[in-house]
Amino acid sequence: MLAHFPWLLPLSIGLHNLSNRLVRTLLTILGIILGVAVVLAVDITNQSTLASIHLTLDRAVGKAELLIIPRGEAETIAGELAEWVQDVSGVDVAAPDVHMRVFLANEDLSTEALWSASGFQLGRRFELHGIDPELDPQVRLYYLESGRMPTGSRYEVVTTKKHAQENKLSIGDDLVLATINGVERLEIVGLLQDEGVAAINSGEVGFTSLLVAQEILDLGDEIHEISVRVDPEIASQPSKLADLKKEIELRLGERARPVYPAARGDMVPRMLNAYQIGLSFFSVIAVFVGAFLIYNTFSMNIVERTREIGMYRAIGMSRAQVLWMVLLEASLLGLIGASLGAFVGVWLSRGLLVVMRGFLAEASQFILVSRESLSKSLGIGIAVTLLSALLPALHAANISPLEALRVQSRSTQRIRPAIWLAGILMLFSGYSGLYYLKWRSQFMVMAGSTSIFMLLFGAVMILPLMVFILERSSRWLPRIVYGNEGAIGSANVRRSVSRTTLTIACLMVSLVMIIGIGTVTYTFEEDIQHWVNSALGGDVFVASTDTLQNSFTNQLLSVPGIAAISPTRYLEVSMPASFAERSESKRDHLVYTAIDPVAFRKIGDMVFTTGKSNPEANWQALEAERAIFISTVVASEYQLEPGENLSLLTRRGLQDFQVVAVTSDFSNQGYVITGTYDNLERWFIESGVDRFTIATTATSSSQAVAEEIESRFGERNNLEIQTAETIKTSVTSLMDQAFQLFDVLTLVGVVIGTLGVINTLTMNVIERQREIGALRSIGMTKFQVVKMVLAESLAMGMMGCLYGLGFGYLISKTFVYALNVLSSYDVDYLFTPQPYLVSALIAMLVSQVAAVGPSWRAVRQNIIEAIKHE
Amino acid sequence: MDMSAPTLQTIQLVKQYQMGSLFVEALKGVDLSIQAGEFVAIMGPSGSGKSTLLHLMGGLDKPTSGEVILAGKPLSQLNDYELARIRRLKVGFVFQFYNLIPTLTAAENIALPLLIDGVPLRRYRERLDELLELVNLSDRAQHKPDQLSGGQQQRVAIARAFVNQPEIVLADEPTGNLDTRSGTAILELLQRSRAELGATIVIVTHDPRAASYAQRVIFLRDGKIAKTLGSEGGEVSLKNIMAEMEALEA
Repeated sequence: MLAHFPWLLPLSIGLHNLSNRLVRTLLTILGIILGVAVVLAVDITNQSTLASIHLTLDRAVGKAELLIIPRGEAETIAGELAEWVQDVSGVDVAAPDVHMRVFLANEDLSTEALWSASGFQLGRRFELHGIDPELDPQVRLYYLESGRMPTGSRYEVVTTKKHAQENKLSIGDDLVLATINGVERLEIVGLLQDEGVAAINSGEVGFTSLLVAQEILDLGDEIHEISVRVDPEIASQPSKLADLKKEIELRLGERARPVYPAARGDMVPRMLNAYQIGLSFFSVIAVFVGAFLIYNTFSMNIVERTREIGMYRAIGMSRAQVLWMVLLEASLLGLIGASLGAFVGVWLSRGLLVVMRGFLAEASQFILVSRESLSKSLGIGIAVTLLSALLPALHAANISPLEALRVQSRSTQRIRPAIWLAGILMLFSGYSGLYYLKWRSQFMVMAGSTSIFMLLFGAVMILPLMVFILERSSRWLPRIVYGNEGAIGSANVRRSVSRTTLTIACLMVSLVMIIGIGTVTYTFEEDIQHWVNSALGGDVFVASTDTLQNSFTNQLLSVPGIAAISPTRYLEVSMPASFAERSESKRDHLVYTAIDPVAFRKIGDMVFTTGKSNPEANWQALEAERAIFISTVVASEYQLEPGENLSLLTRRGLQDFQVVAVTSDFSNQGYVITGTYDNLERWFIESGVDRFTIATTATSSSQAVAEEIESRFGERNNLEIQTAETIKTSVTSLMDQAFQLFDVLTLVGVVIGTLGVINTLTMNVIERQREIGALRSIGMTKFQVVKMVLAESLAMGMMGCLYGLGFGYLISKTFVYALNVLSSYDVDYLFTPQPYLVSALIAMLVSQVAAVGPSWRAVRQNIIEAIKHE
Repeated sequence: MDMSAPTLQTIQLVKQYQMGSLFVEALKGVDLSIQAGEFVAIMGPSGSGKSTLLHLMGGLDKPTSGEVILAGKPLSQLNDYELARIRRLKVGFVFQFYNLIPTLTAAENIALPLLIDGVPLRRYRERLDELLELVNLSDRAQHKPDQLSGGQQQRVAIARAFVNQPEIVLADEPTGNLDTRSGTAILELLQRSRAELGATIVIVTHDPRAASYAQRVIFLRDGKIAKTLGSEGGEVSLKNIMAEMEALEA
């Protein structure tokens, strides 16, 4: 065939090459498969995680991003506004809602008896919602256990399974409600599982059609609020959501106003944003790692064929033909590897998501393989294969045939200064990009990710400069562990700077991931833990769905075992537009936490980030009129410092409150200011208590106190009582779950390191067949050969460990810094030896485990065949 | 050890290889005896089985049938570990392509069998110096293989073969990769080593000039000994060897 189509010669040679060196070909394909798979798997995992986080948040706080509520003193808004809002561009769903608190009537009691008693003991409060059964499931999560949703104007209701079981009700029974207008009977047509909307009012909730609810309350066409679900793209970007909110506000004018849902606030977009930032960092690392794995395998393949390429050149092949041959081969391998890699990637992501199932309850439902991810990973696979083939092939094609023939199939090529000089430049650019350059907010994530990419790339490129220093510092270990074989084996790492560089780089990348992620996790965990410990302060917490009277403190004090009580009131306060404008999200409301400083300090303390040296002065300053503490989040979002004023809309008009200190407080997502009860009463004309923090006496158990409070006041006052221990446990467990994603990435890091070492050692063993054969022929036993390969690997492990630990330290500091800049949380970098010890252990372990296969391969080879091998 | 007993003996040595569905008989019953201190050359055309015979004699491969007795030990009864020990302590190998370890210096390469044996090198300092002297590389002791010429590398390989004072040194085409001058130097070195160190040497070659350095030349054809020059046969001379080779290849 070649006689007719001579231009097929390069392809024919390429194909022969691939089939004749089957093991090497398979290893190269494996490298490409893994590279593509890692990129795709992390991408899929990220997207699936995000989808699952969306669901988790929706479950917790509802799907609606905005609420339309009455303005001022009005209690209702016109029903027609729902349709108006629906027409606003960017709004997906606008669902009207009517709600009321009613009492559940007992068949034996008359309504009059219920109301005349005016005590809550006679009937329990039940929340009834009037909804559009078509629209509402799009803004809230309904999980029907059995039956159906109510329809039209029929007096039907769905309630929770929990409520039905407690009241011995089932589908077909009537729910008897005592309302201001008398007793109403609604037929139960469906029961809800204990999730989603069933969590409202602790399960004491029912949903009927909007028309029925309006009729029961004599509302006419009026409604209480509209839940708005917006386009997902807008939902995940705080600034776009704020713009939409403003647009709706303009349209509605005086008739109603849009707000962020209380439970949701603008936390969800912020949180999603933060997650996306974090995940985009990981994607960058994944792309780097994937590209790196491919380059590693393919460049080795080409470098060791320098001699062969020289031979082709010697017998008359032109440079273009050499390049054409190599690129054809690379394209073929790239295509096969990338396609298989895509399958492996999906499979790998399934595995990763299974590991994360603790965090993502329904992770398996979310294997989202977008066309974008697929084309990205395939593109990276093929492009990097071609690139990693092109660079060494260009080099090979450019050297003289004689020189190439002298190379003797060894890959001891020099690393050109251009490479490490470019590495230094990249390190410098990455560092400057993060620490010195100011980026506009919309470019911040991209700039941050690119800078981290450059730092990693730079660290790899300057490695050739470090190899000899690292080798000298690592030599002792294999000698001690493996004796003379160790000395012979460890010396092998000096033979091919490029290969050793790539292996160390693989290990370095995995250690950097472990240390970076470990440090970030530790830093955040410690910060949150510290805050939880100081913020909780007390032993028992009592909250109520209703604001309690301050005098309730005295009733609580009658419970034995209580040493001190600190009351807290939370009030949403607004600020003028001039202040809201300072924040990127244009958020115009904060939570004012009113405390009694004396009572508060008996139980806990604040974590100050300003005036740390003299907390007493901070507390004294708070006693002044219109003095407040602000959280670190507020300080950074609204650019406020102690001594400056924050304007708030009070019942006595716009007032300036002086910031006297900044505290580390993550409650209400950090949008919190703290002031005294005196100021609350004076300026906001509010009183009452939302939460009591209780310190128990040394001799009493907090659990016993909690139970006693529950039995005395629990049901009557709708109290929710928790002990500090249970809260701490749940915070810790939530934190552990949230950081599981990082554990998965650590696992990816370990896999990368292992593969890198396996790849290099296998190549080394293949390349050194004759030498190993010679060693066997002069008396080396199989066990000694194994020891030699293990020692070589240990030397590389040690070198990777030294470099990885050093660079890991720097990059972990950078990670914390970047997260500080990109999110509003202000955390200090904390050093913890744990990830370093784990990394060192993993490097050693990986080096030894990865060497098992290659060493087995080395001892299996036939001595005679080996010494004939060229 | 009985001084009259041969250092190496092969008894009805047969070696078969399977190549696809075909069985190729490389050796067809070779009986051979090599006395201590002898310098023997094995010659023959390509495919005559000379390298196979050398590999079997050195315990690198196992015969299909027959036996190799080295220093009184039948090799077929030894396991892999024991064979490795025999190779390390009783046999010295010299290869056509030297097979030195590129990361080790000339001195370290020479000491490699000792390193493998786990003995402290300081005890052998004198022996190493002696060997470096013998191969005339004292001034190159700290050079790596890529800093040495082909002839120098082969001299290192020869010193390595003698470092453990082996019973026998087996050389496979030791001059095959060298120019005439370097080749002559290597052959003279082998001869001198035998004289000075009292070693037994077997070389496989198809260079008549190299074979002429031996006391006995064994000619193989089609896996069998076709002729022997030396002890019982005719005189070992370049002329005789060339004549025999011509006859074998005819």
